[in-house]
Formats: sequence, structure tokens, C-alpha cells
Amino acid sequence: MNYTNKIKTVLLSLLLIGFASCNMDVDNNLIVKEEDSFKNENDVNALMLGAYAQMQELAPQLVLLNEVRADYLELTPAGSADLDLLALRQNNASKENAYVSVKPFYKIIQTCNNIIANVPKVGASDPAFTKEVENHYLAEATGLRSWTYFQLAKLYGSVNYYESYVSSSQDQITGETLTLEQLVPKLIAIETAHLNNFSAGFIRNYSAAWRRVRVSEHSTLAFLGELHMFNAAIKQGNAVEDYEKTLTYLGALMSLDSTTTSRQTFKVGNLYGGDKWSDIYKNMVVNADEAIFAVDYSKTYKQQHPLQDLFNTNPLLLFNSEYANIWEASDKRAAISVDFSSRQVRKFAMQKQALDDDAPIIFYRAADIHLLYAEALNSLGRTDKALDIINKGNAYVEYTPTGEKIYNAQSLGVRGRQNLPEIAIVASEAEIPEIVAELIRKERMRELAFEGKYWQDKIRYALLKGGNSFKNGEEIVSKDKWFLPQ
Amino acid sequence: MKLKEILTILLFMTAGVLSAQQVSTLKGRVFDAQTLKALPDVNIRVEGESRTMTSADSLGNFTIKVTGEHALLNLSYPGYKPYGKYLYKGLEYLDIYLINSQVEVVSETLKYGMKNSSTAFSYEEALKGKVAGLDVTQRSSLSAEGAMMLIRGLKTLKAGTQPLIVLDGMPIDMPDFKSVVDGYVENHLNFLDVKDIEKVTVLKNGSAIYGSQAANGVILIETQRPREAKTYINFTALGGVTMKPKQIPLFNPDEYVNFAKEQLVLSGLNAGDIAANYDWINDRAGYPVFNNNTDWQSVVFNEAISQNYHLNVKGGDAMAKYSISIGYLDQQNVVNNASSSRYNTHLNGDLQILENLKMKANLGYSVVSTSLKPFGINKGINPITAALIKPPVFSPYQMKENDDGSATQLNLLEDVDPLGFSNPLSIIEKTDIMANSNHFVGSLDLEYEFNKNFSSGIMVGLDYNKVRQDLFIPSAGIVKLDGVEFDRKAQRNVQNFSGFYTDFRVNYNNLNRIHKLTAFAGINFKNTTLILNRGTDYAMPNDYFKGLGSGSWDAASSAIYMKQILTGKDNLKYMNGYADVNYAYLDKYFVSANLSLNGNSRYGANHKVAFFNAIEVGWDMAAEEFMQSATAIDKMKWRIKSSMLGNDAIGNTNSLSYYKGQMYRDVAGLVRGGIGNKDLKWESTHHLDAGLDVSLLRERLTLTIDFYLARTKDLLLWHTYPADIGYDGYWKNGGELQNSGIELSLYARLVDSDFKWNAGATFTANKAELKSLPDGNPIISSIYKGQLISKVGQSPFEFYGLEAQGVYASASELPSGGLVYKNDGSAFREGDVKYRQVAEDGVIDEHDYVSLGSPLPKFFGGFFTDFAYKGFSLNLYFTYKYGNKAFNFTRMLLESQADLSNQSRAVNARWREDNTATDMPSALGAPRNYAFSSRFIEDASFLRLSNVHLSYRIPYKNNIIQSIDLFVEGNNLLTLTKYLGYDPEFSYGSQGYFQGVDYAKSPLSKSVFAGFKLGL
Repeated sequence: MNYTNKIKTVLLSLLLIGFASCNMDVDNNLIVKEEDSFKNENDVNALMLGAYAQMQELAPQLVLLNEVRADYLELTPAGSADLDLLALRQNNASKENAYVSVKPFYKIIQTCNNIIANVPKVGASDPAFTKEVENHYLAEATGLRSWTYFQLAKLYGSVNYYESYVSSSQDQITGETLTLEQLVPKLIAIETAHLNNFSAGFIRNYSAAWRRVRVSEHSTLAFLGELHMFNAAIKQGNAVEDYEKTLTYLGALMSLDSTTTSRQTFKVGNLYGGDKWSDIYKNMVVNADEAIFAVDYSKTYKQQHPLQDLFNTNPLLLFNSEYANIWEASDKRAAISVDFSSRQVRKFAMQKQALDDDAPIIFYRAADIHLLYAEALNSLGRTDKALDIINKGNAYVEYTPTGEKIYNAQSLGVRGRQNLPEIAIVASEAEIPEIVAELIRKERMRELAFEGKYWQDKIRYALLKGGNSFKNGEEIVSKDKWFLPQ
Repeated sequence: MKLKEILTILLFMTAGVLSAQQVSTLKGRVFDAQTLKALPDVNIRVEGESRTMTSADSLGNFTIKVTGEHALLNLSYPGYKPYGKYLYKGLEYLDIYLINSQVEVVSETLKYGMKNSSTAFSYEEALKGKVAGLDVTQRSSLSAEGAMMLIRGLKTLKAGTQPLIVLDGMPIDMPDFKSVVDGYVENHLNFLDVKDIEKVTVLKNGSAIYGSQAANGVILIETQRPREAKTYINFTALGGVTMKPKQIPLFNPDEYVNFAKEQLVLSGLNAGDIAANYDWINDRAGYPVFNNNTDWQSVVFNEAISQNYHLNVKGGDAMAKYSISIGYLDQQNVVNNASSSRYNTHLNGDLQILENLKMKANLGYSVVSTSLKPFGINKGINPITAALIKPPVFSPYQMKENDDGSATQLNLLEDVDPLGFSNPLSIIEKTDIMANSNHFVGSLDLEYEFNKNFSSGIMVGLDYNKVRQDLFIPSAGIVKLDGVEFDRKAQRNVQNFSGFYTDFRVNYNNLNRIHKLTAFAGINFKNTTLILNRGTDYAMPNDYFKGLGSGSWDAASSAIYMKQILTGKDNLKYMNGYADVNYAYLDKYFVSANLSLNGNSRYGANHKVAFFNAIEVGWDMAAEEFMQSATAIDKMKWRIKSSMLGNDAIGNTNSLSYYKGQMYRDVAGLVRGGIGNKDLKWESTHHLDAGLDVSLLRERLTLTIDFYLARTKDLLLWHTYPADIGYDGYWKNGGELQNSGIELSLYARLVDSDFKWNAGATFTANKAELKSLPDGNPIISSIYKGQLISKVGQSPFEFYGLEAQGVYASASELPSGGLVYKNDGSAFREGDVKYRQVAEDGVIDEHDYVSLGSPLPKFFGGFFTDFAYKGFSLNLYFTYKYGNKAFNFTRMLLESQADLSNQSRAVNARWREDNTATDMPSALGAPRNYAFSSRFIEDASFLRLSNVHLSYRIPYKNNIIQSIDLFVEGNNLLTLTKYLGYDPEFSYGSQGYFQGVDYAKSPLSKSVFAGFKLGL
């Protein structure tokens, strides 16, 4: 043993004596150390809520990326001055473009993976954390992850799919690249397996008022409905099973509370009058329940999104007035979507006062799933029923594949609640399904304008047709331009 | 016993020499080294094989017997420094020159007296330019803020930059206090009065015993200790005036109106628009609010009075000695209504409890209160920038229009003017910002002597500082804060820092005639906690409601959201085991080595213990026999030192994996806060130093030269994850940064008689170079309105932006394909700034950025000259820096022409259709014209007369009064610089990236003081 080593040994033993009397743990009360988490249900819930807090960052990006290329919008001079936004609009954004970062998506995926990996150990330290509660959180975290991967794939064409997470610099991530076509069946399998795992028992912050801003059995039904519609599109429409699944899942959602008149869970009720569109975002009418899955914002806690700024305060995108005629003259949705004099999009700002919470960003709502339901019906050849959904809702009509009655007190369809005339189609039998399909597409555009669905619908319809391009205004967008670089 | 073994071996080796006894006689004479007069009756002692003693006669002559080799000659005489010399065989005659103990020798050890710079109100100020290798930059004219200190360059990118301060043996942790005002540094050591300091030692290459905290150097501060049983009382009083800084030349009202009109026209307004909206431009007389001529700089700046009193009493008896001092400082700032005051007390006691048990106590308590203004980057609220950009056409007071068209000035402060500028006088008079600290530092040191070789000591210390900051910014006359919808802001920031320190040590020394060995080893623990309690509120009911709680909250409508509460606790645990050995052979060969093992709560789990070491060898050539004939050379000591030191200021939680809170709606959730790194550790610096200390002509001339090379590896760096990991990244170690340089200190007693003339100088040239970075890619750092680059092969944190090459005189000079500014998509046109296109792609963007120079000086130092004659003495002290670049943010504001802000007179040369040959862009003021570029990077080199001190000792003495000194002093009386801001010396913060950025803190300026010192 050399001399230095001896000194080291002596000093080290002195140090060890020291260590015994003085531990080296960091005592900081603004952080929660990794090892002090996942001890009970409250911890898991706090992490889950953290994921939704991260959704507040992602949600406006989703809206922007899905709308900025839409033909019914155009860039303002201020928007064109932003060269990154301009490149995005012109569909030649680079990876370095400030708007196309995939980071907010993967941040949520990491959070979910962290929860999924650690939830199974909570039961050991919290007896109240039963298998049922564990399965609930697994379903919720998995659902949020699947949904986020799906959004990524729709925008970027493929994802780096992984189920691990990093908590320290030593952690490595190995994932596999999955295209949209590969991802959709995988997610269908995963979500179907978790569908019945949502707990009926007590889960913190999971009351009816909270459920619309969390992944729940409701949002999972809507998500599965959408996944099957995409799967059907990938199969270019040869997908009876997928359409039937859509009817099953969305039908289950639409049949909720079908025996009561006081609640109108996920029915397209006549919820607004005049300018009151923003109410569906605010969920002010307790029994209205238009929103199935949304992200809330709270000014009280400094949570606001930039969409009002983007569309109104210093607008970078304005409505292209050539598209004014997509709405019929009496369609109230026109005025609540766009202010035609200023051409500003109103959906995220209507009736909003400076001190209000920002409008929630809604990913699934009743009208959306009704239109998907109608589309599935039409694809299965049940065109009349599809038209009923659009025109007058589905009161007392046996529409679900199981023959269950869906009750809608106001007998209002997506068009019906706008007091729009019912559509009757006069055409040859062979032409009708295609005409109705086109009608549904238009209706989705009118109903869901600027809500982040438009570009995805274009891709879905193009896939369905087996085409390699779609029309966006005058422009033909070929498949290599559908997706953003990553 | 290991040490004894070594010693025995060494003794054995020299045994042969010892056995050869010889007796010889040495004759000689003793003189005073200055006056060359013989000194009578000096005690002379020779320690050889046997000890002999004698005294010099009245003429200084002596004869003494010397036995054996390596006999040691010792002389002592009251009032003179002790003298010792090894005698060589055959030496028969020796002239000895004793040096008066009053004579100071400049070396790494600095002594403070009242003699020099009485008006240095912080110890950092007093160190400016005095130590080679130490670059001191005062943060602002608020001396409570202290200074930025870099020893032998910037040795880190992201970790702590400041040296370790050891106060009376206790290492002081510098808490990271948060401040209510941007860029205001709450300086933990602002309680120290320079007059309480006896000695400062700068260990430039650290000391391994402070292992993980020593890489940035160590500054040992010792406070005044009692030496004798006699009672001394010293009282000092001084007062003076700090002058307003010299003004930056700005537009007068006519120039301003011309500029405004030109800008409005260029922005596309026609005469009709201007008449409708800006009619005052055409007819100022018709608009009293616009018809003034205010020198806003004079509104904000004023001469400032300062006063300082200090009383020190020393005394005691053989058992107990004490030194007690109390001091008071009241320092007004040149910015009106800003000031700082300090009450400080210090008590040092030495107590002989038992014959071999000693106790030392050091207790200091101080109260510092600083009244601040909202200095910082917010141009509308910082009184200095607000005054610079406020158009001269407005008045600080409201104007009342009379019926006859004339106007009367009312004694009411004007609100924000119609163009949206704050009233600087409102900022001065109505903002209310206080920073108070109550600081106690105390340590007790018990030392027990087992025998003449062994002793053991234990020290316990407490460092407690309560910092309270109150801020209130009213509404009237002040623009809304950036990013805040509401006016009025109130904040309370209460921070408690406590540090507990214990040290246990064993000392060994064996001062043999031939072998001198001292050694010590010990272990210390430190536990520091910083607790932050902060509340912020906005939109209080009115400008007189300064408390929190009644603003910005309406639970009923859940309307307003700005109220914030933050409380947190941050903690560091630290322990260190250390050992140190010094050995000298015949005062000719020197070896010293020290090491430490260090554990620390900041390190990652895989690195709980760090090892540091240092070894130094020295050789005093002048003590060799062959140099004995060169009597002019007193000392010629060659030194080589190698040390491996650490920097553990890597953040208290950066190695941890943790979650932090984030609200979702009204419920608190958890999100990942930090990606941990178990491998995260200290930065380590390997320091090599080769030096030479020379002393000539009986210490008339001393010279120290050092060459050093400090290579820091394992730099604290940020690792950025790819986007598909979702998180930002984590902290890791990597890369290498090298500082190399040469240092020179020179001190000469040029004339040494009744008239004395001394002169000296320090010089340091340092070169910092990044040697490697983990992936080779440069690191780009953003600062407010600018960027910095740290790139391999260059100095760290060089300014990084566009290179301006004049102005496009006409459209024909523009690139044929047009040129677009990426940030706003705008096209360049005539009258715009021409930037060098690195990438010839028709777009000016980050690909066109180039390095614009380093904020670190190429060389720096100081030089001084002192004269003394009878009771008079005159000292002049100059400091200089060369080659340091600075980002002049105020000039960016004053030459951007971005809006209707007032501009510097240089803007009169702006591009116009009739004035195209110019470097100043047009009044259009497009953002492309004030991008971060070489336009705003300036050479901030300077040479300044930092201090002139003239004092006179009244030749009067009685039983009570021992001495009376009168003095006058001037600071910064002369500054030679090309820098166009107020002053070339400023520091926005201690971080590496804040060097050379001038965000308009209160500038240094000239000051003149007078005072007296009374000795009783």
C-alpha cells in the first residue's frame, strides 16, 4: 500500500465517522425526490394531473399544427413575417422549425410511461391502492399515452414508439419507428384491453366535472371510435368490422343516460343561443356535457393558452373569405366561428373578457362523435339513419348495433340544433352513399372548423380513397407533404 | 509514528555533517537598512552545535563564536523585523541590515492600514489592482453590492466563479440570495468594514485543504486582533462627496422633434396623419406638455454625500486581550434617493484559560440597509434608462394651460407622458425599495497544547444572515411592468441563511534549527440552509398601499391571478478531511504538500468522496553558499507548485432525480423537475505554477513573477436531449477550459530617507481558452438582448452576433436578390445597417453570427507611487484593464431609433436622403437595425487613477493623544477610456455569462473625501 493510499484510508475512515453523524441527504422542500413518490393513490393522482398540466402546453400546438395549413385560413402579413410560420404554411417546414418540435408530445409520453412503470409498486405501501385502482390508473396513463402517440402519428406520419422512461442520465430509451398505418392497429389492441378497467370506485379528482378533462371510459370510447374510423380508412373502406366497432363504442357513449330526461350526456342538445357557443367550452350548463375530452385553462393559476393571441389579439391567421359560403346563410355556426368583418376566428375568444379563463381546448365532443357515428352508419349502407343523425338526432330510434334505444329529449341532430333545414337527398340509390359521405365531410368542416380536426380529416379521407394526395384549396398536397418533419 | 520515522531518517542522513565540529569567529556590524546608520546594542545569537550570545556595541560592531555547520544567526531589535541567516563555513565578516518593521513588502499578503484608501468601503474595493492575478470589478457604485472577483481568469462556464472567502479561519458559504431588483447582488459579505481587517491573503492557486471549494482561489481575511496588553484607541471620521457621472450627450428638444418627425414620416404617416395625431411636432408652443426642455439625467443623478466613522479599542492583560470596534457608514448614491447605511461591530478576544489552553473568539454583527431604485433591464422602470430615453420635451411636473395660452408648472408630478414614457422623477421619488440585512458571524476557537510539538484545536462557528427586501412600485408616472397587465407591484422577500461550521484539527510542529516541520490534519463539517419566503402582489388599491394582500384578488369572479407566494428551503451538507505538511531545510529547500477528502450533498450518488491534493517545492538560491558573495540579493526563491482543486458550486439539486409541483386548474400536480445524474461531480482544476520571488538590496526592490497554467476539466455542462425524449436534458461534466498567464508584482523603495518614495506595480496577462467540449459543438448562451458563444479554441462567453459594416447608402448597394431579416421577415432597404453575410443566402439570421470579442481582459493590474516627507504622505493608485469588450445596452437603447425614445446626439448623423455617407442607420428604427451586433460591442479598456490619498500627521503628542492624522482623498479622479457608457467598470452578476454586460446599474464616478484619524 503506498503512502498516498494510506493517507486516503485514514482520511476516509475519518470521513466515514463523519458520515455517520451527518448524512448527506439534500434537504430541500421545493422538490420531491424520486424515491419519495409513488407511495399512495394521492402521489399517482398528482403525477397524472401533472400530465394534464403538460397537456396545457401541447393542446394549442395541436390546434395550430392542424389548422395552419388549412385552406380556409390564410396568413396575415404579421404571420408571413414569421418565417417559420410561413414555411409551415407553405408546407416546407424543416426539422428546426420553431413550431414543429415533438418535445411536448414526448414529455407527456414520458410522464405516462413513468406512471405505468411505477403504479404496480404502490400497492405495497398503500393497502387502499387495490388492484382495481391500479388498473384504473394503468388504463388512464396508457390511454393518454396512446392518444398522444396517435396525435403524433397523424401529424408526423410516424412515431418513435417506446414504453420506457428516463429519470436519470443513465437511462436509455430504445424505441421502434411505427408509421401511422402500423400504429393504429397496435393502439386499438392496447385500448380495447384497457377499456373496462376504469374504476367505478373512488378516484381522486374524478368527479363528473373532472372526467371531461381526464382520460376516462368516455374519452376511451370516443378514442376507440376514432381509431377504428382511421383503421377503416387505412383499409380503404373494406372494414365492416371497424365500422361496427365504431358504432359500438360511439353508440355506447351516445346511449349514456338514455333513460333520463334531465341529463343529456353527450347528446347534441340545443345548448346555446345566439353567441353562447363558448358555453360548451366552459361547461356552464351542468347537464349539457358536450365535451368528452378537453383541456381546461385557469387564469387564476396563470394557465392561459396562446390561441386567442394567435387568432385575435395579434392575429397571424385569418379566415379566407372565399370560404364564407361553406356555411348556409342561416347557420349560426358561421357567426360563432368567424367574425366576417374582421375575418378573425372566434372560437377561442368568443365572449371572452380580459379576465376570463381561456377557452378550454376540446379534443372530443358530442357533435364530433355523432358525425363519426353517422359516417360509420353510412359506410355500412345505413344511409337513412346516418341522415337522421345529422338532421334531427336520434330520438327513440334503434340505431345501435345491439338494438338499444338512444334517447334524445330534444330530437336534435347536428344540423337540427342549428334550426337548419333537414337534408333530403334526391338521387339514384347508387349515388346516395357517396353524396351522404360528402355531406358528412362538409358538416364536419362546418361544425369543427378551427378545432384542430380539419387537416386530419383530409388525410383520413385521402387514405380512405386510397389516394396519394388531397386537395387543399387550389393546391394538391401529395403524400410526402401530408406530414411534418421530425 | 510515521512523521517521527521520516524525521529520524533525515536526522540520520545529516549526522555525518553534525559530527564534524568546528569553531570559528564571526565579526560584523549591524545597520538600519534604510538610514544605513549603525544600530547599537542589538542582541545577537548563534545557534550552532552550541548556543552563543552577544550584543553589538554602541557602533553596531560585534564578535561572536560559531560552532559547527549550519549555524543559525539570529538578531532581534525592537522596532525591526527579526533577522535570521545560516552561516557558511569560512565566513568571517558580515554586515547586517535590519529592516524597520513599519516597512511593508508587497507580496501575496496584503496588509491594510488606514494609510491607503480609507474610502474603500468594501474589502473587494480595497483589493482592486493590488494583487497580480486578481481581477476585481466593482458591481456598481453601491458598495454594498461588492465586486466580482476572478482569480487567474474565469475557470468555469456554468458553475460558481467566485473565490472562497475564509474569515478568521472559517470558510464562508456565499448564499444565492434572490433579489427583488434585477441585477442587484445581495452581497453576503457586505458587513465587513475594511478598517476591521488586519490582513488579507490571496491564495491564487487555492489550497488543497479547502479541496472542493478552492479552484477559484481562496481569500483569507483576518480581522484585527489584539497583540499587546497595552490599550490603544483609534477613531476615524471621514466624509465626502461623490460627483454625478459625466452625462451622455442626448438630443435637445429641437433635435428630438426633427427626429420624431422623420421617424413618423418613414413609418408611413403623411402630413395629415401627423397633424391629426402628433400635432405637437408642428406646434410645440401650442402644447405645453410638449414644450419643455428637461435634462432628465440631472433629474436622476446628483452629487452624493457619504460619511463614515470607526472606533477601535484594543487592550487587555496577560490573560485576556480584546479588540472591539464599532463603525457607521452612510453612503448616498449618485442616483437620487438611493443610499446605503451600515452599522457594524466586531469583537475579537484572546483568552488564556489555562497555561496550555487558549480560546479565541471572533464575533461580528452588522446591520446593512440599502435603499434601492429599480435598477435592471426594464428600461421603463430603471431610473437611469428611463431618464435616458425620456424625450426632453416633457416636464417632470404637470403643466397647466392658462387662458392666455401660456402654461404654469404645477408642483405635482407628471404621470406617464402621452408617448408612454415613465416620469423618471416619479421613479426616483415614489418607488420604495429597501434591502436590509442583519448579519452575525461568530466563531470560537479552542486550542490546547499537549507539548511543544503537539496541539489540537476545535472551532465552532455560526454564520447567520437575515435578508429582508421590500419593494413597492406605484402606478402614477410609471409604465406598466413588462409582461404584467397590472400596474403597481409589491414584493417582500425574506431570506434566512444559516451556516454551522465545526472544525477539529491536530497540529504538529518541530522547529529544529536545520529542519523545520509543521503539519496539521483535521476534519470539518458544514451545514448551510437558505430559507426563502417571498410574496408578490399587484394592483394594490392605490399608490399609498404598499402591503401585500389587498391587491389583485377577487375570489368571487376568480378574476385576477397575479398574487404569488413562494417559500422554499435549500440546504447544503459538506464535510472535509484535510492534512497539510510543510518542511524547510536550512530555509533553503522547501517542500509542502496538502490534501483533502471531501464529501458533499451536491455530488451524484456515484461520487460521494472527492480527493484533492497539492505539492509545492521551493529553493531559495540566495541562501546557497555560492551566492554569499552576491550580497545585493536577499532572496531568490524559485517555486513550483502543482495542485488539483475542485469547484463544488454545481447547484444543490442538479444531481438529483426529482419532481416539482405544477398546477392543473386548481389542483396541484407533480411533473418531472430534474433528470438526475449519479455521475455528477465537482469541476476539477489542475493548476501548475512556476514562480520566482526576488528581493534585492535589503528588500529595497522586490519582484515576483509567476507563470501559471490552470486546466479545468469536468466542466459543469448541460446535456440537451433530442426532442423525442421529451425533456430538456440534464447536468453533466465534460469539456476542458484552460487559463494560462503571467503575473508580475514589483515593489521598490526608490528613495528611502527623510523623503520617501515607493513605487510598485502589478501586471497580469491571462488567456482563457476552451480546450474541448463533449460533442465539440459550441454553447450559445442568451442574455437580455444578446447572445454569447463558448467555442473550442476561443475564450468562454464571447459576444456573438451580427457584424455591422456600415449602412446601405442607397438601394443600389443592396444584394440584387434582396435581403431579408429572419426575425421579422422584413426586407432591408437603403438607410439600414449593412451586416456581413456569412452565409450568402439572402437572409440575415443566426447563420450570420460571428464572435464579437471577449468580455475578459487580456491584461490588467495596477500601479502606484507613494511619497512621504515628515508628516506628509501622498499616495497615487492607478488601475487598468486592457482588451475587455463590453455590451453597451444603454447605447443600444440610445441609437436604436426603435420608437420615439430620446436618442444620443450621435443619431444626428443618421442616414437621410441628403446624408447617405454615414454609419448611423435611418430614423426608421426597424428591429433589423438594432439587432445584437458589433454596433453595440465596445472596447471597455481603461486606465484610471483609482485613488489619491494625501495625509498629514500633526506633530503633536501628549499623554492622551498619541497621533492625529488628517487626510484628503479622491477616487476615480481620472479615467481614460474609449467606452461610451457612463463608466467602463460594472458587473451585472457573478455568473460567467454576465461579464461585460452594461445594463445601466448605478455607475462609478469621481469622489472626494476628507477626514481624520485620532490615536489615543
